Amino acid sequence: MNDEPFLRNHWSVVASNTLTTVVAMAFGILVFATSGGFQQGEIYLGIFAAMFAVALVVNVIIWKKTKFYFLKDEIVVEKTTIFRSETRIQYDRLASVNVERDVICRLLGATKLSFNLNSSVNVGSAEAYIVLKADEAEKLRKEMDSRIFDAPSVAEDEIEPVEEAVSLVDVSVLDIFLHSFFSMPTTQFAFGILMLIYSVYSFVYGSSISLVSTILFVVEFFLPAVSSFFKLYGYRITRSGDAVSVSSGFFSTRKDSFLLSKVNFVKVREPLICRLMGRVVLEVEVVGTANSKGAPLLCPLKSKKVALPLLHELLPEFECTGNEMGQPRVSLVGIAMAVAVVLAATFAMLFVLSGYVPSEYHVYLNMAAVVVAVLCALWAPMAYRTRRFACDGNIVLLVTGAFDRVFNYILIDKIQFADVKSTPIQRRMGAARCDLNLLSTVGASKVTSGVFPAEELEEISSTVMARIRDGRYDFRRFQ
Amino acid sequence: MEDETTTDSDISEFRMLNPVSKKAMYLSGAITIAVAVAFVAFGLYVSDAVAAFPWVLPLAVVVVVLIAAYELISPSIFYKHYRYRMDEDCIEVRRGVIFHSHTLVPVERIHQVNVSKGPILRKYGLADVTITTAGGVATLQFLDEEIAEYIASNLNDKIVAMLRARE
Repeated sequence: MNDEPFLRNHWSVVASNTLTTVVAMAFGILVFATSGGFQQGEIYLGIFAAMFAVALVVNVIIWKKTKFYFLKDEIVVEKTTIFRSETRIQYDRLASVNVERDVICRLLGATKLSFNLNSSVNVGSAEAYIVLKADEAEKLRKEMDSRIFDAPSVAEDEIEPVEEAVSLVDVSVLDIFLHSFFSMPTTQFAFGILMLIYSVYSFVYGSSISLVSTILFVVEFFLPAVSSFFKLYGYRITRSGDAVSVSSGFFSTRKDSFLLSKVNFVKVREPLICRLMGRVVLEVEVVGTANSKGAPLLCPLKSKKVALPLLHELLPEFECTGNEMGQPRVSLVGIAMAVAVVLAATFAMLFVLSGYVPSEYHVYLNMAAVVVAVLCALWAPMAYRTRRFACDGNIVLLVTGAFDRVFNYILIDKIQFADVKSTPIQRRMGAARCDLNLLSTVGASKVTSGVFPAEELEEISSTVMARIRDGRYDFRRFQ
Repeated sequence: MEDETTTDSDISEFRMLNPVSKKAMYLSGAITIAVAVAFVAFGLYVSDAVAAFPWVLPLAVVVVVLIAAYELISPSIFYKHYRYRMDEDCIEVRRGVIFHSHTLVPVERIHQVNVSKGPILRKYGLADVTITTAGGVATLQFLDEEIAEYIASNLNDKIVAMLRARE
């Protein structure tokens, strides 16, 4: 290994890590000082300087002793610090390569490349990452793309700058704005709007603005929406062979590249307001592309006429030709029980509260009871009609949700295992639910079906096994 | 008692648990009831909840009685419905008390197999087998220690053979 050429992280890693350590330590010193620690300020200065020096030395040693070897078949990350380690990543095991540029990287002209395996063990964080000077990182990424994704060679790519590649879907700033504010779950959206209305009401008709409702509005609605807007600003999706690259970002930029064969399943999300607008969000589950951004978007909130053709163009195999079936009537029992439990709990809570709340506020409790009852009355028929199931031997389609509808297109060969569950009443009627356990962007996850005939759901496991036994499942296809 | 050596044919058809597993479940349930009673009693003792909310005491009693009833009744139902089998390429488990489930895990999807034995299971010579896949975990509970070890080693052998064949 010693003879092989190697790379080291950019020096900005030392700066960034030292800064992070020093800020954390400074916070600790501040807490100590405010709780009546030492009397002389020089002591704090001395401690701070010593900590800074130690943090700097430690980070320089780690930087110096961490080497990256990009060999013919694999990446080797060698650390010869006190805790020695050697990580080997085979190129054909990589699910995605991400390019990230946070504010520090942009200030110091660096870029972070992260390498992700298609494994549930390391799904929360990248298997390895390297920070390089921006132009070196771009060159390395292109080399990686050509090795991993069989993308055009470096020389070919350099002729046509990446910025000029045409995005597969045209996403305007308005689209990103609509996506950020309207594609969140309906419950979150409704809660945020309710808090906003109450804040405005208390400001206009009360003595002062309600602090609690304003904070809840900002934390639950406004900040997530604004954060999403800046993360998705400048969204572009490009394709090179079987690899897809998704890039976006205003302050911090990020580019995820993944092979289409590494897609574990596809979600077409339609929150209630988006359904009313005739728009959908396309998401794919690929390991290593989450990092607090959620599932990578194939397409932000766009009209169905734009989004669905993109899905069919990129992932034609994720199309289910089986006949969709609705839920049998026995599913109404479970829905009715859920409604009964929610109403009973709500009314019991409001009844208890009415004993402690002044009588002039009872009107609000009554309003809350009516709102919950109306929501239940709306939810029940939607929960019954929305959930659907189809299977054509290659793809399972599970339509889930009630207010927010999600079409889950799941490749049968990607199902890890299935769990068919039934209640006593469902068993009498030959019905059941099914949990399909899968590897998603954020790790192990399951998609739960509505209530359908048990034998149809049992057939999923049988099909998974049949495909493994007769060789239709080929692991090499997904490597 | 099981034979000294378990073979593939022993577990290729659906099997029930060893009846001694019910004792382990009852003991575990008794501990759960004791913890629930202690927790509720301590909570009521140190707080003024009963004085402020008179309905808290009957509610706590109802909750503890429900937990106790479930822990007393569930072991025999769980035992009656529990079935498991393993063949060349899959593991199947049927289980449940109120909600029944049927889990089928293809051997091809398994990443890791663990055998675990807590103090209660060790007392009765039992063990759990935890099967990890990329999509989650499936568990075979209250197996005889020997069968659990056999299943784990058999699955590990199959996984190693499968990975070697792929190289």
